[in-house]
Amino acid sequence: MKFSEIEAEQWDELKPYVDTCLLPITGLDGTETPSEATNYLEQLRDVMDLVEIPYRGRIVTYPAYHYVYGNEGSQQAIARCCANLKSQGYKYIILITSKSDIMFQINEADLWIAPTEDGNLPSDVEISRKIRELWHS
Amino acid sequence: MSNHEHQDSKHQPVQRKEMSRRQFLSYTLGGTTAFMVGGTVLPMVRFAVDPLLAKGGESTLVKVIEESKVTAEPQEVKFKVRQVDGWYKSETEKVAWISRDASGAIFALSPVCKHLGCTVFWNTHGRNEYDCPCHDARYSRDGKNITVANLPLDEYVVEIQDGFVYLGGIIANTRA
Repeated sequence: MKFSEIEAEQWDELKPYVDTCLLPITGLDGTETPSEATNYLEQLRDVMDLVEIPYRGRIVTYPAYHYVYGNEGSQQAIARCCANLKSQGYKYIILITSKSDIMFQINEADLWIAPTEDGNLPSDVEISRKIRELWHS
Repeated sequence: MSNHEHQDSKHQPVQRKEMSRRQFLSYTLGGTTAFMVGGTVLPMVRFAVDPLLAKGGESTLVKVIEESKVTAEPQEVKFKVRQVDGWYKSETEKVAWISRDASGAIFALSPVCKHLGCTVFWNTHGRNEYDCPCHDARYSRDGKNITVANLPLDEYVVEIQDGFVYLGGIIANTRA
């Protein structure tokens, strides 16, 4: 479920069941036209649907990290964000993006969901398999 | 008629039933104002109540599979439903697990787990049950809740027409 769907008074009751955080990485850098930015966000939404809908009872989607400038600085910022999320109790962090060129190593994250090298988005079956493997690891 | 009488009638004031200048202006301005207000407000009111005036009765049943292909083993079917929310029309994909019971009757279950809303799958652990990947809720073939969830899986309204299975809205489970 999305972060905005959870009421403050619900959280204590839900927290034991929601152990996975989905952090979307849009991967914009400011050079996009409005329509390109819209396309990137729509692609990201499409791939997020494959995670959010079937697993909405165990995964919380956090606000997206929209802008990425070079791998090193962004890598550190996202890693720190993941570490903070884990420190508040999330057992698993899933990073998700629709851009294939921004997937970099984040030790604090447990799974990357990203397009393949040829730009194709992963299938729902593939995503489900990866998430189940993660939870059973 | 004498000449004298003729002259009297000529000088009598003429009684004409005409509106006054003030009345004429009032009617004209009032009418114009009413026309302009009506021209502005009526389309707004029509727009506001448009969904209420839309013709209903359009069938919500969706053809999903041939009746002959449905077996006792649950199978997943995906179908698209047009949703109208006020002025916003969208098409959403739905999933159902469809099978026959012991008497051969066809029924379709919603895959939405009644615990926290994840999607259940048939027989992922080889127990001939529906399993939820999130918190291990389990449901029988009829959708009856076995563990974790407090309620059985919902059902779809099922209709058979001309050898095809049609699915409608969600209803509470009638089998568990």
